[in-house]
Amino acid sequence: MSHESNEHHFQVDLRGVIDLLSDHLYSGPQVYIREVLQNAVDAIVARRQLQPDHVGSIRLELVTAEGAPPTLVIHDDGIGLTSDEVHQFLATIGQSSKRDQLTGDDFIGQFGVGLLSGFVVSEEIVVITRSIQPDAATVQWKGRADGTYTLGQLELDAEPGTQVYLRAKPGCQDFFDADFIRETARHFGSHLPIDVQVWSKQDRTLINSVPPWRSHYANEASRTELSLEYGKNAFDIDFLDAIPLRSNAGGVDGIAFILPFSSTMKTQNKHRVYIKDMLLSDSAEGLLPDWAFFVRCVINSTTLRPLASREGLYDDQTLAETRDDLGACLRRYLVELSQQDPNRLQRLIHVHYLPMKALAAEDDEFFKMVIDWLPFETSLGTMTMGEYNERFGTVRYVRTRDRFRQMSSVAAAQKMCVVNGCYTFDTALIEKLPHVTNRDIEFLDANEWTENLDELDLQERETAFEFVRTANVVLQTYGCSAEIKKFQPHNLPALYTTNESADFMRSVDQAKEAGDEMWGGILDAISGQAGASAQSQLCFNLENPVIKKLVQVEDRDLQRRSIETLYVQSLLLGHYPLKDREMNLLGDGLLGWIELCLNQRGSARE
Amino acid sequence: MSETWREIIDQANELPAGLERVALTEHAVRLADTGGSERDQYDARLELIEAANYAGCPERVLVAFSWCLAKYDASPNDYSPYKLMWRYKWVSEKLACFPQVARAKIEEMHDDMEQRYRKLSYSVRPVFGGRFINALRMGLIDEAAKYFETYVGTKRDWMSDCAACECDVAVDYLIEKGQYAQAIDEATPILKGKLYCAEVPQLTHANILRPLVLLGRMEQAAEYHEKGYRKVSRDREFLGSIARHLQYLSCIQNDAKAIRLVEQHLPIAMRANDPLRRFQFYASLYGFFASLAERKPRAKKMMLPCDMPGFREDHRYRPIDLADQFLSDAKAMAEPFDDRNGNDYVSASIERRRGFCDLGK
Repeated sequence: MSHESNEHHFQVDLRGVIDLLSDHLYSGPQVYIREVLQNAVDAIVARRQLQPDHVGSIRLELVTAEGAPPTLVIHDDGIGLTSDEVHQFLATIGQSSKRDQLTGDDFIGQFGVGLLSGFVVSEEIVVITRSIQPDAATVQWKGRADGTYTLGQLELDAEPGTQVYLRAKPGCQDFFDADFIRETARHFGSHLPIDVQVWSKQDRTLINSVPPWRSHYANEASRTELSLEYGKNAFDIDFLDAIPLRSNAGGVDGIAFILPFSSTMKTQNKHRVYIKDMLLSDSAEGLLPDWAFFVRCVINSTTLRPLASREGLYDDQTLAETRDDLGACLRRYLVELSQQDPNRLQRLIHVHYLPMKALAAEDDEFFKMVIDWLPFETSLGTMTMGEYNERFGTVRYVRTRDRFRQMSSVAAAQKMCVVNGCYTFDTALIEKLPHVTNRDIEFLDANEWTENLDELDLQERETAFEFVRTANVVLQTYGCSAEIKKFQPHNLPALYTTNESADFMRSVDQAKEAGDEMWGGILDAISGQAGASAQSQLCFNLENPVIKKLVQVEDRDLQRRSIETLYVQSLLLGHYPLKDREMNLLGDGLLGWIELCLNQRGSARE
Repeated sequence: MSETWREIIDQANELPAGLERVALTEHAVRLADTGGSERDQYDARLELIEAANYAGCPERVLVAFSWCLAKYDASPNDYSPYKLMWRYKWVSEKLACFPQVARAKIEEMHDDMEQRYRKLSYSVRPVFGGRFINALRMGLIDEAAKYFETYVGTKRDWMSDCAACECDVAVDYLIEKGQYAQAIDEATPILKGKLYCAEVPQLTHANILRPLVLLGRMEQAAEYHEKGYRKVSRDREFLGSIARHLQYLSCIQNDAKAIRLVEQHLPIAMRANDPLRRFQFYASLYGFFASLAERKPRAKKMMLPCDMPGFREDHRYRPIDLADQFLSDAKAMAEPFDDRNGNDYVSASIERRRGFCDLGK
């Protein structure tokens, strides 16, 4: 019999659209397999709506022949299409046939470019389809990448369903390799509730496996065990625990796996998201609250919206509510753990203290629950807040790395315990203590903390008086003041401390020395306030034997030299970059000492 | 000291933008200074400029940048100008945030930037962009208009800001001119997620709130507040945007959330390094508490920092007392800006913010 053979043209520049897809929308040509799979799934689901007993199956068959390009045939026994429907839907790009034909949530794929993805790897797509509607004919559609297509009826009396033929175009043979097709199909579709087989010349494989959200567990213990096994297979990681995840808002059912190693806030996004059993993404963003970066999740959602590329989640109200729900699941798990197995929670905190701190910083209830188990760096080593509270009472802390660096070893030598608040959440947590728990805290100002060091007795003060006066005069030109205390370690002759403003002014001076007048003016303008509040101080140590001798020396010139040298030494010990004047001090100072010694030896010999 | 400065930088780059990252980067600079070549010191400072820029520490940006520029000028063949000139854009946009920097100095710096860009055959579009932004910040509306015209008329090249930033600037200008519907329209690609970068849509979501409310589009405003605040709440750099979210919360009378925001961000504002952002936040604090004082005047329990002037041991504060305190703070901060700008643009904005906070009534 004859068949209608009409040449028709697409209504859009197909090449342009294909380029758009491959360059901007899809992560790579392999996505075509997902798209054709999705069409097959949608067709079967549509058929089930009308014929609830229909099971459905999908087959990806790779046909290879000597000397010819490989062809992939995708079979499905779904709802099929009539000639009119083919005409109407395949020919209008950007229109999803499923959306128009059927209502509600039976279909995803709001963006009807699924079939077009075939053109990324193929010059010609052939579709043979037969609708389940009674008296429907078997229809053949051949579409070419140049925008032309033919449509006609076939004499076959085919079963209802659809077959899509994709023949590899030059340069795309790799995407028609049997292993590639099998692995890609498994990657995207292993959790589909419809059988998917991949056939090649060598073998026939069923790629499906039962996902956690359709599994049945005897009890909680076996659920956890099997979940962890799933996690190990999915990510090749031995997770610490598996937490069930549920969200009504997002129609979510899944698992959060606790990582066995610590992670950072930046490496958050490795969650595996399925939408209606098809893989959407291995690295979906925005699924969990920012603080929850200690888990990796696998979830299936029935209502979350994908992006146009179907490779990420659309950031809308549903996602926001889902995020809250999932955060609550994780939080609930932690609370239960604190009540039922606190040792286990502490071990978890040991690895994941950073996300715990992040949550505690924003959640007062959680803060109260975990604060005593959270670790902090102190001058006497790392310890939990609970331990600190027990041993030392009032929490003394500094806010910056530089302050801690300056004073921690001396504080430690005094058996003084100071917390280093320089890490991201630590200061916020410490400053929350008085509000949420009624504990006392004490912020240690840079220069005032030396007041905690031992004072001299009256006799010692008397002896050291002139020396301190001289030191203040000598050091004034360097913007530094002098004082004297007694502290351990006794081999440290002097301790140099500064505040934030002084550190900043040092960098300003450095920049001014390098730069020109215009910038000098600008730097002066912006540093005025810092300049006024800059304070640095050299605290001499009377426990040190050299200092003990030095304060008694009558020779003012000798004292001056010594003070200057000790000043520069302290800067060097603290890794402060020296300003030009201080560099000169170092140079001239050392030479001066050598000269002095040589002179003394010279006069001794005489 | 067994780590090299580069290793420290790698560690720093693992951290989210913020003070901890800046401190670590400064440590790397210090290491490079005491052990490295001039090249090392230069490269380390380029990292510091970036870390400081995204942590709300513009003063550190300026200091490190001026050092690098001086070294570049001394030996231009040793350093590639690209990264440096890119960072000049950040510097040029931040200068007006410091009230102590005279207008003449700001102009001098823009001229210097223009000269350098021309010499390197870069399009001067970003120079005029910077001039426009600073003029707008200083309330010099006519000048801003002229600069904007030149800016959009100058061609784009690889040194220009990304499409997202440029769109955000255009939106901001329309809002400033009171063309709200147009502004929202212009912002569509940003709001739809098609344009984004390191600072967009964070800035846009905050800026768009007042126009949306004024146009009665409350649902949209709520959406962008939710999305926008979540993105900026941990970020020191966006103190100005956080201030706008506070005004919005006051406007819709969500007092609980507003107070929560104040508790979380006042400690940060107290120690903010950017004088303009700090002013914007304090002005918003005044607006909120003044508004709250009229609606719910009774004392409330609030977790405010113990080094705040007016801190109370019992943690109970009357909104009117806080309003008075923050108003006087904001006025004091506005004064040097007005002196420098030669107008009352900045101080007048205090009452404008208050107006938005009161809008819900």
